[in-house]
Amino acid sequence: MKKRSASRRSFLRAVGAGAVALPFYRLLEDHFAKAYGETLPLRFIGIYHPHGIAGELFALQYAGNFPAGAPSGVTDTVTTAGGVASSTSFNLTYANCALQPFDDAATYGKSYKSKVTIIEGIDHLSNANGHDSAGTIFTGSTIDASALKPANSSIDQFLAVENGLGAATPITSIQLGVGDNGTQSGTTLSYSKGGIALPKIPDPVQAYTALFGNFAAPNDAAAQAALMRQQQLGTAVATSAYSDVQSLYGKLAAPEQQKLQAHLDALSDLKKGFAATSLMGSNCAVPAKPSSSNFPQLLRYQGGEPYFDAITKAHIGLLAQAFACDITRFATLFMADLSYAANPLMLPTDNHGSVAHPYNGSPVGSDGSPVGNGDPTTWALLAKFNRYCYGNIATLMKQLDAMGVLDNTLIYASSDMGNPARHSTRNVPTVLAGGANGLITMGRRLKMTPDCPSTNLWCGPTDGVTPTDYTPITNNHLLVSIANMFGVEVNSFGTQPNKSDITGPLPGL
Amino acid sequence: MLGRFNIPAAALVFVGAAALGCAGRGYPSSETGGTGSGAGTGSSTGTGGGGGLDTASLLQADVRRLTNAEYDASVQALLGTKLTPAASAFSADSKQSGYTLNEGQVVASQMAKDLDTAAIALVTEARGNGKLAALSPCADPVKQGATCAATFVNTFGAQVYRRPVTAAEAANLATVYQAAVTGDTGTSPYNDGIDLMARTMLESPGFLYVTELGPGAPSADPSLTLTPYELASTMSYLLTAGPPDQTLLQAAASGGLASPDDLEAQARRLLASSGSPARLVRLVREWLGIDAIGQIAKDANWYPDYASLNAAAVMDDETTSFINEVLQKKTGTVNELLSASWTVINPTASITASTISTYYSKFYGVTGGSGETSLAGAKGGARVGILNQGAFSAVYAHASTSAPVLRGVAVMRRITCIPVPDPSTLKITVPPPPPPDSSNPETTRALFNVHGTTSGCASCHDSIDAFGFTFEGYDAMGEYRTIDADSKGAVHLGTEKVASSRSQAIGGYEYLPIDTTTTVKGTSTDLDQAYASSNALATVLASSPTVASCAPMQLFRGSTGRSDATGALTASETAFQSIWSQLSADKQGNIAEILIAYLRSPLFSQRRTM
Repeated sequence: MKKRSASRRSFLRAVGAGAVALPFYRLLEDHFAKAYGETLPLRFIGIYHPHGIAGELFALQYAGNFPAGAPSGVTDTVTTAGGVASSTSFNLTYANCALQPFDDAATYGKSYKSKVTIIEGIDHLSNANGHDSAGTIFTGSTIDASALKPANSSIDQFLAVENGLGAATPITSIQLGVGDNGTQSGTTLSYSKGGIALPKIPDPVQAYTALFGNFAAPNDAAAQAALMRQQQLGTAVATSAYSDVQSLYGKLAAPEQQKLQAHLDALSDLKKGFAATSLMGSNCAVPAKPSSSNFPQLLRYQGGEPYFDAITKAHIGLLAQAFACDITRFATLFMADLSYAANPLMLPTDNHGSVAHPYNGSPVGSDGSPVGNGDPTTWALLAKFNRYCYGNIATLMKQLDAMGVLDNTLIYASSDMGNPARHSTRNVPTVLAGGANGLITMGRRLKMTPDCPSTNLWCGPTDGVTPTDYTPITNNHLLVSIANMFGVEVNSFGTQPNKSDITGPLPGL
Repeated sequence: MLGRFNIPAAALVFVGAAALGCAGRGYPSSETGGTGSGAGTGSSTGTGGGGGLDTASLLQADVRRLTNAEYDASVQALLGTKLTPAASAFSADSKQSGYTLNEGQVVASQMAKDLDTAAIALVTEARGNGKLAALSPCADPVKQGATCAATFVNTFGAQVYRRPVTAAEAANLATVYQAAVTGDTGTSPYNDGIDLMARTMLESPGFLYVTELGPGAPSADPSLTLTPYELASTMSYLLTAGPPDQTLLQAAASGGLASPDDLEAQARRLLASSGSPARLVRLVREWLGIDAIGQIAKDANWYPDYASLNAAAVMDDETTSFINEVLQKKTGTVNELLSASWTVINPTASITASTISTYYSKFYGVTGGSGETSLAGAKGGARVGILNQGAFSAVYAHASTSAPVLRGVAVMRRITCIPVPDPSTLKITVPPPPPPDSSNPETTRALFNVHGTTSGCASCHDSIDAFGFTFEGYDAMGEYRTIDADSKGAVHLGTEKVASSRSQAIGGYEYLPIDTTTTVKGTSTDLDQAYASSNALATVLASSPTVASCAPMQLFRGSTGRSDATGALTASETAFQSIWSQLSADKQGNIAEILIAYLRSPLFSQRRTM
């Protein structure tokens, strides 16, 4: 861990060592440090949006990216280096573009084009059905065919727990979801060590309690005293259970010990969560508790769909405020669709069966498969759903910006599939957003080297053995780059049979 | 039929499975059904305790976390609460091989918080209604509080942990008591101390985990015997999903669980108790994978009635009611589950008699209400057994189309135990499906014929698809195809509705004839034969020796919570099959008798040391 900087050391000297134990110390130190021009710790949000992407309305628009010519009549300016195409001059506002929300000042107050990096051509090697592949996004691991789980932890847990970057905040990390509370690989983003699925919180009221439940206003002595008592009692409970689990741990063989290690980590988090949180700082205020009457149903297929948008917006608001108050620095958000009759997007009721599956791509969106030029009406339909998802991300960016923490945040958003009609996990849409403490040059578009040769555009992950036509650029490389951004010096991340697929940072980033 | 089934035949099933065409495709050899040597060692099992089982066949010593259902049943038994914290607030169980009872479940961060929230709520309720006070009497709480607290640990604690509390655990709880009473300015520090200890117990591993570790004294023995308390807990949870009752705990304490006869007597008592039916229903539903039906939704464009009929909830109720009826009131056999010509749906608060009768008439074409209803006159001829009820076809289908491969794989993996490798484990290029062409509309079956003509696919899909095509009489909702009227009012029973732009289309659709006749080949089992439909298939499955020897393995998996990650048969499962094959013919097909055979055997009472 890094030593305190000079400005932080001077603050410590000024207030005295005893102040370090105060719950709000860290926030004041951050405030002080920021005033001295220091960057705050980096934060991470991993986001999933369903149903893949309409590639034609996502891709860089330039001759050579698709033989038929830019459908929009637009041409982005592209340079190529080492096989990676990049652009700093690109258009997101053409008709039906899936990425419009990132350049829409009228809706979001300003354009966020300079705060996004849009990446094409990353492949998720899940080795599983597209619908089971969300678990690969943040782990870079194949999904075991029978156990339906990845083999290793996700990047947020790797950073927050295994590398201790979440230790300083009251909540180590938080996992939020919309419409689903299961732990299958198709709906789970966060995994602890060994690929153990972490459940999501589908209820904004529960998320609020998890994040802000321990707040007591600094001038409310009775509330402060009550919280201190709860902390004392809760710590006793967690300490006793922890000791018992340790005894049991010693009786098991190593592979079985892993599940008790998860329990020990959970009890450590529980203990930390009892600490009273006293919040100060110009942008930090405890938000109003969401009203459960706004979300009478929470889950898919159980009447929750009409409330998914409200739930998503509630989760976004809580995340922004939680980051502003430094309650946590690591989050994942599993988004859902709006599969209900008369949804506000005016999409067919079944967003999956009637929007994602009928998508009929041209070679741009169909991984080069030789089935014709596709059906543009299906592209526009899917892109309309994609715009809804990216609109939610733009809303999150706007709120983080208003809280003054967008510059210190890295958002990594992707989908489980690229072409959803094929359940393909090749060429998935990847969007990085936020300021990321300046560690990435934002305001760019990147297109990775093609994963198939021009002589066999329709090659796939199981083609051949040696030599193989299929040369993917995996999300594993991006996860390596992200780990490095957080100061964790690894050169590989994830689990794949081919070591070159997990090694090295993302080219061109 | 079943009486002729003996050990050599059991080995034959697995040699036969290895000969399946799929085996030539880089198929891992471990999937060929284990060594078969387990069959040869099981000679004296099922009679005396501890005889004859190879240590390598034993399950490994381990611990497993309570499932959500078990948590709720346990707190209800302990505190008499009506609350169901796990069902209402905990994250869903994570399953292994489809079973919620499994050794892979963990307590992750969110669960630890949920457990604490639930424990606080339960303790608050029990304090408020006098239950905790009754459990923690103390003549002089001011001066003798710590002593009374220690007594509470040894009485209530022993109930929570389902065994005597260890000295280390008692010391930890004493510390908790002191943390509560120190500086406590409330009216009763003693009560606060008891409350905090109760809260701690409900979050402690002694409560949350079922252990299969034995006495724990270090030894060089390769195998160990579970303690009587472990036998009591493991048996109780696997038969009732609830903690051991007083009778069972007393038997454990007094040496009354020493022999297989003792265990059998307790097992039969538990099977007759009120918690058992729900547990066995769950076991069967998870075995068949139809427990997912409550969460299944369908494309409203194709099936606008699915949601308004509340079809998922009705089918959910149907599977539960039917399985319960077979197990509690009828023969309780696998044969009857698969071959019954009737069904049962019991109305609930949300499923009215009118909803049920609409489901019967629309889906089955019979008149029915609550209670047993014959399906002999159903649309399509009949509906034989649970596989032909709506839930199976609806679960194994997509949002708008049927799924012959999912249905075929479900039958093969779950009902017949014929191994089916996943294409992702084989070096096969899976071509994407051609987009449907409305100018040349085809039935689902016709679209899947590409499997038979593509090299690399046929060796597995000849059998998978053949099983699956027999179900093509049912659409993605489980309704017999297809009864909606076209715009001219003609009803099209026995046809598949497909989008069409041809001149003969009516309203954008055509109704193409379905074909459910198939021939299964290449499995090297008694199932290689021709079938007219899924009803004919179910009739054959119900009496098949292949199926008969698969069921005990599945019930074993679902009860022990262990299975191989690849789905291959483990040595323990092979050993259990050999134990099962020693049962008399009339018991081999009976689900309760299969579980009792397990409980009598060394596989239940012994473990392999780590």
